[in-house]
Amino acid sequence: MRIKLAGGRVYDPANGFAGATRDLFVEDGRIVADPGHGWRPDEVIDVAGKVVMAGAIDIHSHIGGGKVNIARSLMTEDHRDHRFAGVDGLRSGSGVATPSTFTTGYRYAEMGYTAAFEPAMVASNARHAHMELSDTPLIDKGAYVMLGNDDLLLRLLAEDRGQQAVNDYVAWIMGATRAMAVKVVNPGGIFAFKENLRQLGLDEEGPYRGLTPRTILRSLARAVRELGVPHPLHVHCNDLGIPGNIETTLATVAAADGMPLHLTHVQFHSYGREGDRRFSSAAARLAELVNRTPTLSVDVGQILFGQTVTASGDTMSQHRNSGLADPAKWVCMDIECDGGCGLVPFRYRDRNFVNALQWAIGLELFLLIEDPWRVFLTTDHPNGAPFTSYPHLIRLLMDRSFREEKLATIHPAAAAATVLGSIRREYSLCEIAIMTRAAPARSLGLEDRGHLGPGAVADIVVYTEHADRERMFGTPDLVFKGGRLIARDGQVVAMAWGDTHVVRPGWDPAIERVIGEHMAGRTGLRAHSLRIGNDEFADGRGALVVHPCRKEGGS
Amino acid sequence: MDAAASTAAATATCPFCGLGCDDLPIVTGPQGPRPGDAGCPAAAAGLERWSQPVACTIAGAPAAPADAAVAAARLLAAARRPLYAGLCAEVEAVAAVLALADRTGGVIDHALSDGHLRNLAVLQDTGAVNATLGEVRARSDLVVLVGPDTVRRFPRLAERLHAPPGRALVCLGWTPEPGDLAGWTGAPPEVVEADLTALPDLAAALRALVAGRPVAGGSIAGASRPALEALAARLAAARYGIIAWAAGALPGPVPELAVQGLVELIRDLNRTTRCLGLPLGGAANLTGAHQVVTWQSGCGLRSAITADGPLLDPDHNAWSRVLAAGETDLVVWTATLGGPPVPHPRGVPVIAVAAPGTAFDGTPAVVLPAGRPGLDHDATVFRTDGTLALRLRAVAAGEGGHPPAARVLGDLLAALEEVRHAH
Ligand code: SF4
Ligand SMILES: [Zn+2]
Repeated sequence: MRIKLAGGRVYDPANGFAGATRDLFVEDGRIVADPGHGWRPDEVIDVAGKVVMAGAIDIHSHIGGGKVNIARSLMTEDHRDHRFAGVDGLRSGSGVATPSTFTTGYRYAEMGYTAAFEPAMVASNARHAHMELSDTPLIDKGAYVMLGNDDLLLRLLAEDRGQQAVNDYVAWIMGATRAMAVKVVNPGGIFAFKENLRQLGLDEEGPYRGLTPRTILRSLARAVRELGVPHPLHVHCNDLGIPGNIETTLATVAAADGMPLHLTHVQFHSYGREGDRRFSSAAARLAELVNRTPTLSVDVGQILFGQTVTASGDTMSQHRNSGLADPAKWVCMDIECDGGCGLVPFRYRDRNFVNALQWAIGLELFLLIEDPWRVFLTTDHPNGAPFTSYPHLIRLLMDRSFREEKLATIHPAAAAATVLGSIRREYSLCEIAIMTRAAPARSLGLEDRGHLGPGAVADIVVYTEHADRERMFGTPDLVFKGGRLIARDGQVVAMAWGDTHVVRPGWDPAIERVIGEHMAGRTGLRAHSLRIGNDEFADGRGALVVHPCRKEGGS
Repeated sequence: MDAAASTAAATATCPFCGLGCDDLPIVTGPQGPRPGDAGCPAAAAGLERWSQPVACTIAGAPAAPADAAVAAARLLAAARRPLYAGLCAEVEAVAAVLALADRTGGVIDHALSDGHLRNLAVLQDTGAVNATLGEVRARSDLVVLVGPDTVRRFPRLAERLHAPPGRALVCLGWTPEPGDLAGWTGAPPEVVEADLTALPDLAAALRALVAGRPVAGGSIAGASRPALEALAARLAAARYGIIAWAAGALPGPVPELAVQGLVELIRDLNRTTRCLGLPLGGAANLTGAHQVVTWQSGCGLRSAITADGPLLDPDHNAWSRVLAAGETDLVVWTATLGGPPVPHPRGVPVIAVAAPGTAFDGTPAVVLPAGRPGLDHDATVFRTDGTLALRLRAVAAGEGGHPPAARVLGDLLAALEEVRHAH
């Protein structure tokens, strides 16, 4: 199948195009260089004057696995009030804050997203997570496995088994669970909560033989780098949501000692303790650090007002916040000597001082961090807001007057406490293309996604330029997945399946005995039971794509 | 059985009760696969059942699978309110049922979902604080087993808990009989006598005692006040207490209230220490059915696929109620892992997608035989705690078994599309 997209204004920052008028050529699902005269397209689509970008990539969105499914069960109102019939070959589904899997794929595709990554896969729940992702159509996906609160890593560190053993263990876990990256959530804190501690600072001695979060963090960051995993250690810092936690966040970056880090949902980690209410924005301090630290990237975890549910591996903070549950019900779970999960429904209110300031802090971060290659657009779906609010968020970033209109409606003390009103910056289309396409692809090591150069998978989005950026990004004219038209005018028109992306560093098989004996003793399960086979991805729904580790990893 | 005729042993993961033991030795001999030792009666019974044949039939007469699929598809095409039940099957099979249900509409329920729905109702009203089996095994210092079915329905639970120094067992409302705690090597359990039909009162009293409020009377819900005071003190003093119950077996007029009481007690205890629930259930992949129905529809068991999408309505959509009320005109019953007999409602045809050993109350309109997950084909089931999805690796693949239920149901969907197309 050959398609020519003629005359579009192409925003392809990875290849240096910022709105230049160019034709795109697609052959058998991939972009090809201008093939010249002899090439006969099966279809020519006139996109003259339209904005053309690669499919967007969500680097952090809780879309599948155990905690998401508990959240679906918990959020009965969300599923009762938002129901979708199965029509035209699509499957039925329900939910906005915690959409069912098919619905998740449809909603992403309708907004021009062609990939989303589940950032909090518990190793013991990996098979479940992948089954959900496999039932999520139209988009590529992958998952980050959570480490840093698992009994075995803490034991390896406390017993001083050496970095090589840690690397082998991390590599084995990534391979067994089919992970794309490694995430650490509240390093040591989830474990500590199991031992009945309620807070654990970066340098506090934890309950596991005095091991500090700093040691855990550094060792994981080093393992990820030495194994050559493209995406740096994905860090959910200690002390989420606590006023004054900016100190922990800054100290976490310092602890990495120049090793690459990705800090996730930094909005929840950029709080000061100033003012009458002892809650203030520290966005400027974090932004300043990001601006001068090229090895650091972040995603924001913007909050937007309305009903959602917070779903996190961080049981320590979820239990601490359970009193804020709205509706008043919540779930915490300790998981298999491995991790945990906590689900707390939440309604962010613009007339609530804290919520309103959280909203402003997220936007401050977006606008004060200068390099769009190192700040990614997320709401930490569903924690800050459902992913379907991205078009609204993009408008807030691109449209200063719209932003100021909204600022005027929030809690006045919060409006007075933010510098948001004085920030003139408006994101350009090119910057949006960077932060939602080129940059996440580069960060994850996806060579043939997130751009429109020859060889790229033909995930292409065509928009009609519109002053109302929410409308523009909410209803793209055309969305192609692998060269196939899957959505038109913001409606899914055809089915397709995306690929599953994984990284598989090698390990010394000697570690398998250590893991096997540990599990047999602790959980009573065979380590073999965690390993997901290739055959489990052979369901005819997209490929299992193994990405190479970076050579410069090594020592 | 002639031991010499037995062929090589395999180690299998067990799909029957929901504990998900992954160390079951299997011996395949002339009588089919059997557990290599008699370690678990439930596993032995499940495998034994699987050795009974099942035949492809239309109205009880032998039929070719392709003809039976067409006969079943005609029934489906004519049905206005199908009931998709049983679901005692691997995740892949339940997913295939959902694909079918999405084309016809209908009610979706698992044969054994009563207990699960009790836990879920409380979760949806209040929440939960739970632990997985591995966490219980590794960390608990006190395990309270509420009622005998915590071990009688889950025969290897006590063994799986094993007994490191410092772990104590309390049997609340029951006295263990020989064999109940097979494999438990720790100190003998302490028995706290109580009337389990009054569990909500018992839980309320424990909550009061934990909160330091006095409780009146010499005995509460069949338990002596001193015994309850001691139990409350133990729970509060435990570093990592576990309260285990089997909601499917809770007695009393409103078992949901018992679950509610236990969950609230657990939540209270977490203000000062750790205490977690271990809700036990999940026989015949009940947990896996819940998971896949929830992730695909956003609702869950006892929802209905309607013209406006899936709708959760547990009170209305219990399969036995739907049958009794005559609210269905076709039953599609899927069972590869046992469960209750396939029902035989008067005047309502039944399509059974059934593995060997499935019991029937009467003759279904169509029986479509399906393979045994983990023997004939690879398949996935969930452990009771919902965290571990376990892969069952076929140990008797290629030995002439039936095709996987997922394929049988996929063929049925294809046949349905053809029948509809022809009209
Ligand atoms: S306890 Fe349950 S899972 Fe374990 S072997 Fe017996 S029936 Fe199977
Ligand atoms: Zn997150």
